[in-house]
Amino acid sequence: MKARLGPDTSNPDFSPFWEGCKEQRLLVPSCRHEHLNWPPRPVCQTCFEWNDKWVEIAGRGSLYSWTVVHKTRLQSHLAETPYVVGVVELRGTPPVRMVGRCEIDPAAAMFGLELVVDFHRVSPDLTLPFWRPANPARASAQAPAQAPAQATP
Amino acid sequence: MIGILGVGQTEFGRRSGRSLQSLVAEASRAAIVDAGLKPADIDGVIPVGGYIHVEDVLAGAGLPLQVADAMPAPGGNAAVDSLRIASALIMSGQATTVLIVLAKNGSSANRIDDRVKLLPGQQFRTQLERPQGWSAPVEWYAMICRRHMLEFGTTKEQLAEVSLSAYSFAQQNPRAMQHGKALTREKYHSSPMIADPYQLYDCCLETDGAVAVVVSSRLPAAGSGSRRVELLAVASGRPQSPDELSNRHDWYEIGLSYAAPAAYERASLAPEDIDGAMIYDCFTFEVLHQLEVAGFCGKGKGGPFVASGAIGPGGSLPVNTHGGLLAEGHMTGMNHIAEAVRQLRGEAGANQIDEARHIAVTGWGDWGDGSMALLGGRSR
Repeated sequence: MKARLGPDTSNPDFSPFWEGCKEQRLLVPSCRHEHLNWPPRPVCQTCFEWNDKWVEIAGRGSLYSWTVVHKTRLQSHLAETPYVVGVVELRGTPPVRMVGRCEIDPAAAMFGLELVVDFHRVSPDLTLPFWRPANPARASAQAPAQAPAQATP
Repeated sequence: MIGILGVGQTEFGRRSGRSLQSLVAEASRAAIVDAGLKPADIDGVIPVGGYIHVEDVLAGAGLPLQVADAMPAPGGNAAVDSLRIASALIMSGQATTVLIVLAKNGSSANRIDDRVKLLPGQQFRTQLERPQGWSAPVEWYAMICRRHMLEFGTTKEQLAEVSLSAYSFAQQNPRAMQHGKALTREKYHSSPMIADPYQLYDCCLETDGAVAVVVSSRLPAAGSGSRRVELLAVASGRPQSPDELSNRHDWYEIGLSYAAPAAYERASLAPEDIDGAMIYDCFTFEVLHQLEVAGFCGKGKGGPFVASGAIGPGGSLPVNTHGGLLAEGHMTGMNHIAEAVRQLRGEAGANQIDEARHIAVTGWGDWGDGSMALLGGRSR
């Protein structure tokens, strides 16, 4: 993937996440009751206590939904169309869903596809997470889209 | 009781070559004349869409300067929500007669890319979404549509029905941008892919133009010729995780999930009482989604419902009889209110619904905030 116009990694509500990515770790905000929060917000969306720490979450999840972007007005992504953007559900309490580029064949995208995180170092300041199939053999098969199993609580 | 006394609009098209102030003035004056009123009768103003200010409306329509005013958030929920705000101004005694107006050069100067920069939750857009190549409404909502297809078996054939129905109404509506541009199933399926599963004809138009509506507690002046339509109820709501989509527990629970039951209850009506619906149709799937949430069909049944012909000409619930945002023009839903008024006055021409007594109008904005207005005809 090419370099692109990046986010402001010094934004205090997000900078621990970007620091984690540099170390190839996914960090998410949490409150004193250990509720996970994503996307990052100052206050826990489960108990409304302050989110006062960042905790590591395993970089493994399943594909919750996706789109294949064929037209984009983002100059940074023009050369990459068509590409898959997915919502990836990670196990946690409550579950965390991350939006990310998925390096998968669009024809092989299917509900529940197991994905693992990988990291792309764009610049010294910015490392972006993206997602690869946990089992590449399965992901390249022409699997039909399947009816979902129970995914969320 | 509060009602809609008048509606007015400009021509809908591309590259109007006109200023927003000129569009505002034309639609506002037309609505005031249609209401049988004079500019001096207006004592409240709501500019809709985020591109125009109260002062543009006052100057353009020659209104009194000491008006009550308010501005709804600029997304697609703004038009129906402005009916709620107008009601609030009137019921609180701050105004009797409110002019609501939207104007935009949506195909030329005020394109969607600019507006998404005004949406709530910009930090998520810039930090987490845009770097991953996810940046436009068509891409956000495609994600919900895909999930619905997986979960309920909704098909592209069913999405096609929404667009085909809108285009077939537009062929009978000379005001529609796509009048004279019939859509076939083949053309729908062979159109360019934008964000899978959305192709070109799943997407709304971009439009230059203006629409205005006069909401009032007044009855029409005797001999004015005005035909008042009753605002029976209007309610708005927003979903959990209101500034982003991905971590919403239930992707199908939206603002309309709260607004629709509230509106039905206040109007003492049920979905079966509704003769036609103007559903905010930014994209085809959003129509299915809102039909389900508004109670016109069961959860997950939107696909079979539209495939049955229910929403088309002569169907059990004609939807967007003007052609909607898909085929008449994108006036951020203000044109949906104008069409509901025409239906209830019996002025909808070839697309008139027989004995239309109750029309539902919905709004859908940005991350799923929503509204429902229930409008009713006066006994004639």
